[in-house]
Amino acid sequence: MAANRHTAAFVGFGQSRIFRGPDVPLGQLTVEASRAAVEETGLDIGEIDGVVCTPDPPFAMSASADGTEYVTTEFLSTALGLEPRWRADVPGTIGNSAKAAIEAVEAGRCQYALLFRALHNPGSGVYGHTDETEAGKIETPGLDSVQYLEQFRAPYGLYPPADAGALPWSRYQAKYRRGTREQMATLVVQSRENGLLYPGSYWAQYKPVPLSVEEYLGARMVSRPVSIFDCDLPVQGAAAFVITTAERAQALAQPPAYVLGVAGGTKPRGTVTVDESWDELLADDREIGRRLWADSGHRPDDVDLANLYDGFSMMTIAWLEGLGLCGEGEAFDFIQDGRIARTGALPVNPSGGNLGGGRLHGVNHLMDGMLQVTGRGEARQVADARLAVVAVGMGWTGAAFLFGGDPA
Amino acid sequence: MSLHPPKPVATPVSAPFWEGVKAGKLLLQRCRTCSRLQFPPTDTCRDCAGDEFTMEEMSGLGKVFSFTETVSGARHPYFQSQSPYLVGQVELDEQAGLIMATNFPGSTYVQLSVGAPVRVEFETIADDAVLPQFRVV
Repeated sequence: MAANRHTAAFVGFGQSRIFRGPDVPLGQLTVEASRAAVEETGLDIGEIDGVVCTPDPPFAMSASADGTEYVTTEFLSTALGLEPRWRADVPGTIGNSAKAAIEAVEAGRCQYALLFRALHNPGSGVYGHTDETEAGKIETPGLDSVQYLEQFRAPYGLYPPADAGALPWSRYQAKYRRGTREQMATLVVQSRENGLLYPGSYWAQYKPVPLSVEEYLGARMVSRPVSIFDCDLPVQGAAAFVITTAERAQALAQPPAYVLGVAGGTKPRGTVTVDESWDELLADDREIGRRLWADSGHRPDDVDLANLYDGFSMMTIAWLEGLGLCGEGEAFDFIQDGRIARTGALPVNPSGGNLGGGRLHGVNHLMDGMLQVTGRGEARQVADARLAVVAVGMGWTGAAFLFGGDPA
Repeated sequence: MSLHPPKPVATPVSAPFWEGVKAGKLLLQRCRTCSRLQFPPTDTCRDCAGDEFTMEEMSGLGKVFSFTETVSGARHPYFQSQSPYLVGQVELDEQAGLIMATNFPGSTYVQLSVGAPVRVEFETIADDAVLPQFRVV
């Protein structure tokens, strides 16, 4: 095994309370999460000298206010009384800003980076483009005017989850003769079960009931074969991580989750009529996987568990195959027979991911990967977990990480 | 005006495409540098960063690439009124990966299959608004 090229480690995590709607302003929740993350490291908040985030709300930013619908590093730094040496507001997903945080710490731009992600959900009315559950109540702003890419989509009624959830799945079914809803049920039911064990999940807090296979199969259909339970639940909440060097980590309160590999996204593909087709999604996830294994010197067989992004259930299928955790066309068979359960050969999203936790985008995945390899998974702990792969986002917005409980 | 789908609003770079559609033609950009076709139109070629294009008329023939039926959750009043409705992608015969959206007029969900041949037609959705659609042939 090659020596670890990386010198960064994740040393703190904090999450705010989460809500279905804007019960508490997002800025306040971000402060709450940030203080919790710093507190568990034993650092004084004034020692934070780097602040980084992905500020993008999951809807148009133009009509929004910093601290209410989204939160920038400027907002948080001011609120916490920090004057960081290094700051970055990185677009995309938290995968992109996590990657930036690792690079900044490794390059010596800062000693202790605070990475945060804050997700707003107005509850009803204006969430717009990516809301799945309140969709019937939503009016599309500007009936006759659609933004540039929307001119090729909206006139056909093509939007999530039809685009990134259903069309890749239908294509998959035709291509491999696999991928029934009965098969997908295994993943979604397991995600809910896992999420119920994570006290920070939406389901654990508000609706602590498991999902049965029958309920999944009988769920309200949105865009065939995607049902309501194949879509994550929009929430309002924030989470934060502290990242420093492996060397400095030794003096902190929690065991470090060592960064062993990092891979960023690929370029957007040509067919942006939809987010990505199945073929493009698989190709891009594969490319990210190729970069991750090359960067880390590890192989898919080495990992003890996987946290694979699941804004729509199909995205996890794409990551399983793209990262080489199973073969092409095999993921729906792979997830059966208890293989992805917390006690299985490859536990997937042991803290519930987005489907079992709520839409904090990749927060749950990074958090679980980090906590599992340091034995801090509590009721979700996977036995003997020393190596966790984490994939955030999808295809060209994606990023992947390898966390280890050992420094190499 | 009765309920209709959102009208496409052209920008300078997409105007030649939409003007072609109004004239009953499917005009796509071909990059003069790398000769690749692309859709949607952009100022810069996604493959080679070239910035000169010719507008080329497509045969209008292709195959069903993927499809879904949106049963609930439609965001626009027109599509709420049409639910359940078909929506999906076709891949044009001219180039692998050249994908456009469509509603598969004349088809039903159970009839549709990936790979079925389609042909373009042009649907007037509102005053001064025409959409390319693909029908299974």
